[in-house]
Amino acid sequence: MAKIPGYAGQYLEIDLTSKSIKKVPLDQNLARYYIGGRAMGGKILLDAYGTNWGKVDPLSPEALLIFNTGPFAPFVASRMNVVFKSPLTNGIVGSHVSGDFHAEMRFSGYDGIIVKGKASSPVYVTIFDDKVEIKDASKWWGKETKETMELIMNEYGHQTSQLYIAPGGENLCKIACVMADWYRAAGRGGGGAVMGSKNLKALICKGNGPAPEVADQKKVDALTEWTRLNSAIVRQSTHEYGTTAGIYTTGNTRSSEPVKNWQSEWHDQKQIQGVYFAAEQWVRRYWADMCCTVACSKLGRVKYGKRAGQIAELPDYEAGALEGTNLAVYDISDMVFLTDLPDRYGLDLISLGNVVGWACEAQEKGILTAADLGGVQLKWGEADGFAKLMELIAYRKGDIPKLLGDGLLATTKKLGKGAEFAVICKGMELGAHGTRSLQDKDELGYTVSAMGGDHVSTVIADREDRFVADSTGQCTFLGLTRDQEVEILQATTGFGITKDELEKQLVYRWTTANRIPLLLAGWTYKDDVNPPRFYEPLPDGPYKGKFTDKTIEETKKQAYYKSQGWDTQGVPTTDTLKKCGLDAFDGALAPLRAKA
Amino acid sequence: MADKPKEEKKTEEKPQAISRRELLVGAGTGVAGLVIGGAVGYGVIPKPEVPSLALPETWIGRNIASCTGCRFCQVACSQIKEKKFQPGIARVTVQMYYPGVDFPVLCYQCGDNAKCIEACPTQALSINTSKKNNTIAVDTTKCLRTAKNGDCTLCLDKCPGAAVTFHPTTKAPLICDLCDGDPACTKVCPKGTIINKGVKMAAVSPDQIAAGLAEAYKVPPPPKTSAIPQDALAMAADDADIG
Repeated sequence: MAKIPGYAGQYLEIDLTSKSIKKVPLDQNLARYYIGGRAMGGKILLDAYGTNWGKVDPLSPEALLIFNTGPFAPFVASRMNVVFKSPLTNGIVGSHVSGDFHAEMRFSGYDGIIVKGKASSPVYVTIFDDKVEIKDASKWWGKETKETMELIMNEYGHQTSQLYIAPGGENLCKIACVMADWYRAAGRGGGGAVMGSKNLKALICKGNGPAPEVADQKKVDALTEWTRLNSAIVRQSTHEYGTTAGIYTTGNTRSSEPVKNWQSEWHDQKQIQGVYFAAEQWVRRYWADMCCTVACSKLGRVKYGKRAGQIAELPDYEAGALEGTNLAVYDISDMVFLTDLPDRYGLDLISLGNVVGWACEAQEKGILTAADLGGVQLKWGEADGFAKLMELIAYRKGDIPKLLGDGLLATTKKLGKGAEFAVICKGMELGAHGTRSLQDKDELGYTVSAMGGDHVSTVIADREDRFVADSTGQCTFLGLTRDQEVEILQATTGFGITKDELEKQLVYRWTTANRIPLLLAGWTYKDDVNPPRFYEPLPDGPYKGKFTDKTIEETKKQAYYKSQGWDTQGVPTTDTLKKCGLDAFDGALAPLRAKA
Repeated sequence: MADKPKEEKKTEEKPQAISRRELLVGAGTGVAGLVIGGAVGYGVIPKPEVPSLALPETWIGRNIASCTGCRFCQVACSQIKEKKFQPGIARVTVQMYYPGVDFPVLCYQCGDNAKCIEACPTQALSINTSKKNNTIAVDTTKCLRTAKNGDCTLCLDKCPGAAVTFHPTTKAPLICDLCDGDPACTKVCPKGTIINKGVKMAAVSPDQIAAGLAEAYKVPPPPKTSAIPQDALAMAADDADIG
């Protein structure tokens, strides 16, 4: 096996139908031009499905589920991506997650894992260095997150790292996530459903081998050391408060935080400022994953009131926003309680918060009744009702909760109602960052990005910059400059990739590679839009009256299409495809292009 | 063939939890210090024990309350011992015995009465008196794992702190030797969890740690206060993280 610096140099290919396990060498070219993580995983999917992309059922045995990281892991605080054809967007989704699975995977000698097929009954996979086994998970199936972790630890001790699903994914909710270790999750896009559709309960890994060899060990060690000494200082706020402080500031200062299903994006609920979480709730202040000193994660325990004793992580900004302000829940204690539920059920907390918020407005407007939601009449600010609905969704109890579990696109399509207040983009519920105040995202951000409503990968000006972090395997909370990132990329891989090549050629290539599946899945330039609600004026706050301007949106969009070498309908030109080595798709895209 | 990760010893009866008092060493902050997450000291007050004749000069204190789980200690250990980035061969391992709480596990330096020495069927383990810290030495010519390619795990099985690991390729038992008085792990720990000082502690088992942490987290909350330091509020307001 040829050694590629910065890489373990091999993949695991697991076919759950035939129960076969293969070790496959990493293709050098793929590494050179797609680096890793979301970009590389996406290319593997694109190559596998080809022009047949539109016809592949994401929840079928033929669908691939890819767990991939990049050369930065584990030398600095790092992440991995769970990459798959999303049952929500039908495009490529590479949901990032921390935890230590990818580090253990690399120590075991693998850069990634590709799972296909479907087991005839529930299974889990163990990866202990070169020993890989498929095992019976029938006793674990049906268990929620905490029970699943306890079962794994009882069996394998306290040093493994794991990826697993809970009832949400087992029940094939399209908003289900893949959980990692305690409280981490690859939330977006429905990866949990893909995993559940394969009858795959968990992957458990512990690697005792060395990290992959790198091109310049001294340099890498120096950069690791830099992050150890400096990241927590450069990111002091994140170190102290995680993203929790944003639960107040994003609403109050930036006026871009969802309130009551995005009816508003501003509030002044001073009791949910970050310092109160710290003082009243956190029992573990600094919790990190491998080689991270920023330690943004915090463990919270509700100390007072009705929910005393409840433990949940943080909650971080997205949770506090979508399971808090979006539902007009402004009590810290209730927020912790609601945040814990998607973790327990294995549902994406961003999608879930949007879904139940939509359901509340739908009931307000008479589109849904209490009977539709198992007798629950939702009320803004009342956590118990939302909690009850979340349980119904996870366990698919009742026609409407079952529909809700498949996301807002499926729900509004089936009901033929409510699309005008469904805050989704290309089928993906939006992360808690609005566009109307222009203090957060802008008119363009969500409209043209590869993962629709995903807020971390929004486009800025002429680039979906998140591709860089998602493919190198780093965590963006490290506080590295782009130049430092390029240094690490050079020192690990020795590929000699400059900043220019990275930003202007590689990202450009990955962007087109991720655009193609969206087009083949049936999305068009008409879907490169913001959610309808974002064109409504904000009702209150310092940016009252502001709304997303369609003319500016259109101008920015055309500029973006041009910068990516796409035509006026957002379809990559023949020339662009050639430049990106993706000519094979020219024929399939031709009918979609703008007429001359 | 890789070993399964080491299995936890299962104690027969309910574990004797370390008391909350024992978990906290006076740093003046008392009980509240633990739950607010401040560092509260560098060890556990041990129950009185017959002191070993071979107390180490160096002691690696470990602060239960502040471990972040970053595992830089493991990385540093592997780098100093074998010049590799390989947490799997570290003599310290970070374990999550209680959900969401990490704890560094390494040799408790039990001295002459060490259970691992007693347990070894071939007397492969001994106190290394030639080194100033009297740490455990492993004679690989006698150890069944290394000399006979065996799978004996008695030193780990009998260690009250479950602090032995096994090298993934050589199979040798790995036991912290305090780096000859200059422990590498203590130089990299970002939160002062692992530190080169403190009161020597008796070995504590995984079950005791888990039970102790469960107790510690039941601590009653401090009085609700609205007195939040102004600079804390200012820092939080700076937060512009996209999360």
